[in-house]
Amino acid sequence: MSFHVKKNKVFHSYHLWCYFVQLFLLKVKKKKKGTVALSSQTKTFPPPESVILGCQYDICTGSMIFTISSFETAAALEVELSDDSFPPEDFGIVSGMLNVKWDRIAPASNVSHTVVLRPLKAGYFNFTSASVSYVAQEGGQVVVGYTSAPGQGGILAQREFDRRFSPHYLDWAAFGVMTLPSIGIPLLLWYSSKRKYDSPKTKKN
Amino acid sequence: MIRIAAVFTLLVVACSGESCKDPVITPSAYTTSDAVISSESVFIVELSLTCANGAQSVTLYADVNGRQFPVTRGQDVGKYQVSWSLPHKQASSGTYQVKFFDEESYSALRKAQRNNEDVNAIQPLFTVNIDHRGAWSGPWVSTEVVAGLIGILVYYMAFSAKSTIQA
Repeated sequence: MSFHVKKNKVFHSYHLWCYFVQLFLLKVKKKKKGTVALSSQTKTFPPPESVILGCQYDICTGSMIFTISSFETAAALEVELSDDSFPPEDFGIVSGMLNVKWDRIAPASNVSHTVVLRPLKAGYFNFTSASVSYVAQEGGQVVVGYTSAPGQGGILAQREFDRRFSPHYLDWAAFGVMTLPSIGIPLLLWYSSKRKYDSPKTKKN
Repeated sequence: MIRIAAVFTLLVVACSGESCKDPVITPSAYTTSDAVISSESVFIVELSLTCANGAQSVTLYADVNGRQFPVTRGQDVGKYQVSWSLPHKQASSGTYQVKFFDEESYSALRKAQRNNEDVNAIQPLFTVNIDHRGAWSGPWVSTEVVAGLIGILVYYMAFSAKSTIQA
């Protein structure tokens, strides 16, 4: 993978090929008068780094889950969800589509839509809202609403993420190799003198 | 009254939906592979659909293990997506069969569900199998613990050797 390299203020890292994870739940609540009330939640990340994370392997991704809940008594028609808040220079799409539509959403039901994105730059990103439009009844006016913005989220560079969260196999291996002389050399010395002077009396090491 | 209106709307929508003959699909799927960095396992199936009769805006529904989802249509013609998410523990690895239904077979499916009939008897328009390898949730034992245990073991061996010599 290669991306154009940019100096980053937050992590001082030139190795920005991986990134983050964040899971949002955008809830689109429709009020009866045709206005759209929107809220969002950030899921299950502990504060204060509630929106961090990086990734460990080649696919490092974040999922956006949009949940549209219909509270109306009639079906919502021609529902369109459109999210233009991810500039292509900052995010790549791993899977899913950012502009989608449903012909019909049944009354009092939920639909959810997921898009998996891969951030291309580390740092902070202001996640803004997506827009939703629908027709409340056949031939009626198009109602447009916006989801609430999940807000600012941190995106970690791969190196920083690894430093914090990876199992550090290589580091521990290096540590083992470095401690080997101080343990191994006395052991060898002792073992050779033991072999030289010890008649087969003790068999313990 | 509301119910009648709902049924009427459904009828209108059902009539406006096109039906697809001899569908040809190119599916692609994504499932979460790393549970460390995500709070839920997500499943995404994207497909492009071509119908022999040239139908373009087909209304599709998907059924995965008895849960139904409306299929989302993309901006491009013939692009569809269905996605769902599960907690990691419930998202066991294996093959998931996603059955796609058109308007007609979907209403038959719903009817069969309501009447507790055999839902497997209803033929889907087509099915897509996706493999979920399970999400990796980090090493079982952290490397610090392993390193610590090795350290203790080495110390014990050295200590016991020393006490044998001194005895």
